Amino acid sequence: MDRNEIVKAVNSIFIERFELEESELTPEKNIIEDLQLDSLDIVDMIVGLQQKFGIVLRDNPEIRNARTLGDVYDLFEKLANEHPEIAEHFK
Amino acid sequence: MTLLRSIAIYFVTFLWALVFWSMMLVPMIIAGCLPAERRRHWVRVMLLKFGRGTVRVMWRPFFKVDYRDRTGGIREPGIVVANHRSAIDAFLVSMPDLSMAQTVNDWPFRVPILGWVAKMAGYLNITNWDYETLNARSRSVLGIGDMIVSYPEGTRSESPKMNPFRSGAFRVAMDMKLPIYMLCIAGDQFMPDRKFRFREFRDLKVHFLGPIPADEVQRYATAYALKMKVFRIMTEELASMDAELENERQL
Repeated sequence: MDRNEIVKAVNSIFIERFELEESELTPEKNIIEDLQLDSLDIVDMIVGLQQKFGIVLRDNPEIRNARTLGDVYDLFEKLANEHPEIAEHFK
Repeated sequence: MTLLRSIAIYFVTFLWALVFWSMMLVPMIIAGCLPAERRRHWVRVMLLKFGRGTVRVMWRPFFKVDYRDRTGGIREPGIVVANHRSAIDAFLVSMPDLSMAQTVNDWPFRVPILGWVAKMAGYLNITNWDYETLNARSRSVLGIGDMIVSYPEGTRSESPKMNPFRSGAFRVAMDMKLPIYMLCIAGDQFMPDRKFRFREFRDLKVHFLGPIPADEVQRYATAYALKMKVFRIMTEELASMDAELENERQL
């Protein structure tokens, strides 16, 4: 999976579940301060990402430490390299 | 002037509280003998009358409140989402004349008298209760025909700009299939300030909007999407109310 595919897949969660516009989703956006997600919304985000990418993120400390959308893209880029089955999930 | 202003309004409010709650002593004792949910309802009704009396009569020499009801008279029990600029919002939520249980943090429950009254009225503790307890207690408030007031900003903004909303109340509305009403309160950002000083007296506006019907609430994919919709509606309404207040001040 290349970076663009990952960005598109992550963004689709924010568009479908949170009804945000694609133009609002830029890497520097802070998830809490700019997009106004609170702790409950972050749980919804994690559930959406788990379903989309077919992996369990519950115990992943990096997703909990993600501050910006860019951090989430980076994490999934790393996960896609470590777990090729994530790419398979999209085929 | 700030000191005099503050002393005057606190004195009048204290005096009114003394008179009102002395008159309510017997009804309170009778309410105390009722089953828990009916008792809580009647204490909420007393608090509503106290709040309305405070705003409409006792505070009238200091400032006026222009109240508009834009709900079309719909009164189906649901969640009333209010913005929160100042401590007097707890009184201003009485303007729609609806018996309501307020959602509050833990600290007011620990304040002498106030905490006891909040418990008697069945106010909802959003800090200490788990989601199941909150849901069960919310159901009993709504079951008796009362509303639930939520301040999703979590704390006073003291500014015309709202703080970001928390999603809890919206999740409850979705889970329990409830309509959402919006109570927009404008003009009171420094009445009082964070140190409880009245630096000024200004006329206020309170608009009661909605509801977003329960079936529409259900259509949102997440509580986040719903809260952002409500946030946008209230931001727009408050901007127009603040502009009106500014125009009226300049006249």
